[in-house]
Amino acid sequence: MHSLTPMIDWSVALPAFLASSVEWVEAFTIVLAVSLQVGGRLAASAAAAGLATVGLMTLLAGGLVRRGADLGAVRLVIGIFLLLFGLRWLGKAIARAAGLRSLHDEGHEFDRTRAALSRADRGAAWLVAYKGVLIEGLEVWLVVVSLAIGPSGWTSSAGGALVGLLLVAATGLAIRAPLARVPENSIKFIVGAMITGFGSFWTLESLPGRAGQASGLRGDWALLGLELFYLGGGLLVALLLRRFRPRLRASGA
Amino acid sequence: MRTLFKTLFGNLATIGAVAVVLAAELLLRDLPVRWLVVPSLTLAAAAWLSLRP
Repeated sequence: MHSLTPMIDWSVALPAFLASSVEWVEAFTIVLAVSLQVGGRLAASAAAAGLATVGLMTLLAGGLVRRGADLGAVRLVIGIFLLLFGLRWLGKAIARAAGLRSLHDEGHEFDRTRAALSRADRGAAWLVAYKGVLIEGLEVWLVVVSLAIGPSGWTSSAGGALVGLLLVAATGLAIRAPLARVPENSIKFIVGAMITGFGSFWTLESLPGRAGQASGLRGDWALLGLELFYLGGGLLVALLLRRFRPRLRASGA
Repeated sequence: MRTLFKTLFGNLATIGAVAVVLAAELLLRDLPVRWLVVPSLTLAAAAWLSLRP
């Protein structure tokens, strides 16, 4: 009989929870807009279909990752995906913090989705909700699968995303309004740094020296150091950009 | 399909930035200093991406 604590790797569960939470918040905004337009039952069925698709993809990919978890090549590929994903998040987060890009606003997104839905029939509205959950869920899927390396990776990664989903769904159903007070922009900055840190860690670890020698820094401390470096460095870059570049408030960015 | 591609891989600028980072990792693979150089290069890539519209 195992206790739960050793099964959870918090360095994996936390980024999975944070990354998935902000994606679920965005998906909830779309589903809420659809539910007000065509009814809660139709919106819920679309959300359930989207979640089922993402769940199935997660189960399939999880099996593949667990089979190849010991292979350096799998870690390298996953590290590349994390770098692609993390760099995008970190770049956007720096731009938002520097005032070069407008902050993400769920209230605005909600109004925009409702305006777009005003011309849609029930079938089109269902598709909007389904696609919204699927696209946001796809990003969650990417993070969950990528973080699911290691003996407790799968439980921690999928568990973190599931807790995020339940928390957002429960809060959203309770207040029945866009979750605009969730500090999405700050969370995205932290998650961008964490995901980029994971990406660097896995790619650097998967490419040993030609003679196969140890690379020096390894393990949890190296990962934590990378994440802190990207977080601190990203904040510093944002500060410098805010100071030395004119503000370019991109409309709709 | 385009949304799926962008979700998985990002835009060409992101792909290019990651390619440069990976090239640096390959070039420095024998040197412990890569643990300092590569993260610095990655952060520079993020800063460059932040300047793009």
